[in-house]
Amino acid sequence: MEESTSSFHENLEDEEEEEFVTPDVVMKRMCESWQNELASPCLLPSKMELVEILLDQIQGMEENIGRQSDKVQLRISVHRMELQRVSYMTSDYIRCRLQKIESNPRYYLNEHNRRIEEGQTELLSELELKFATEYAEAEAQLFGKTVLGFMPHALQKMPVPVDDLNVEMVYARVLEDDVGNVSIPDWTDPNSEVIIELEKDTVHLIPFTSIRHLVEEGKMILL
Amino acid sequence: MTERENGGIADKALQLVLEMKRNPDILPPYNAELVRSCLHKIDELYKLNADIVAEMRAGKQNDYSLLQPRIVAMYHIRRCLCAYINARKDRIRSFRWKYGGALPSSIRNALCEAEIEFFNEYSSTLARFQGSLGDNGVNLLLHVEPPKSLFVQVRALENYGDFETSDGTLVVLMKDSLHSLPRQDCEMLIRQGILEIAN
Repeated sequence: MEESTSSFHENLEDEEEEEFVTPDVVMKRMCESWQNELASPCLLPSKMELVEILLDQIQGMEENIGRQSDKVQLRISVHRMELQRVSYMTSDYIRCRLQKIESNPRYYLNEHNRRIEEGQTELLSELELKFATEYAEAEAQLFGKTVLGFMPHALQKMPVPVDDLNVEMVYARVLEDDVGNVSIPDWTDPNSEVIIELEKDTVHLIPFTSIRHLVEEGKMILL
Repeated sequence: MTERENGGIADKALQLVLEMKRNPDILPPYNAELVRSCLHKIDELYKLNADIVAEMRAGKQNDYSLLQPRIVAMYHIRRCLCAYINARKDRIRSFRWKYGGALPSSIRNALCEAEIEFFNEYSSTLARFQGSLGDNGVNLLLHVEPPKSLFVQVRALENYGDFETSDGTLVVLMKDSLHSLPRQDCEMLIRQGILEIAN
């Protein structure tokens, strides 16, 4: 993987556009976001802008390859393989997010709005927001036309389940120095907390809610 | 008598959920009759309660000990119904990923009208989402496995006929014939059961 991604980047260097970040950095961030999303018990803030950049570059690469006359060169095959890998990563990232959105669209729409009101990073990208809204509507139609629409008015409200994130535990590694301390609930005593020091490169099995903000800031990565 | 009937319908409502649980691999036909009788029961209970409340308001002496159990029963039935629809919905969604936009008629027959509408709506929502990704859209049904090689050895399971790969070569997929095809081209055919991985 290491070898092939690096040659992917070499090739992209010359078509670097208005972004200030290099493709190398984009790939690295994408890998981290992907890993976090797969390992996280809930939807994390959207990193769809990375996906858009990569999609753009995949297209450029495909055009480049298409222009080559000799299709059996080893170099071409290696590049093709890299494209496949990057495509897999982006597709899987999007799929994973869609699955989470579909599992509870109303909850995530509410979360999204709450985060915007509180001035935090957006949970959903513009496209995802549209998808979630449309999907929630389709779901409401289905429930309405099958069962809820035939019930007395008081019972017609669409149920919105809420996951209890407080019971979710995750493995995570600290990526940076000076991350500081986090508090985790002490299970033996409901009134007290335990303070944990997060040193660089240490791995913890820890409640997700305690380190959620650190994962979102990129200071920790889920495993 | 009412209590006994309550129990009867509540058990049947639970049956809807069990029906889904006991058939994890297939989608059982939509049980319209049972759903209707559950809805009917909720209505009945609601009316009984409404009558009592109306009489209480009017100041008549009444036995209100049954109000609470009826409410619990209504919520129980409602919960079972929602769980039933939800479980079916999840399975219908998975069909979109398996078969693409067109449902095989065997499955279509097991759905009720609202569910078919939902499938179509979901299908086009997903298609719109895929279409607006990047410049040319992304087919999320592709690249479902981590890629290990560019080409895969596949065996055709039925006579499919001509098939053009992305680099423009034309192959004829005859039953039991072996081919080496680009992975992303044949992913969809493998999922539909036309090809299988040969090695």
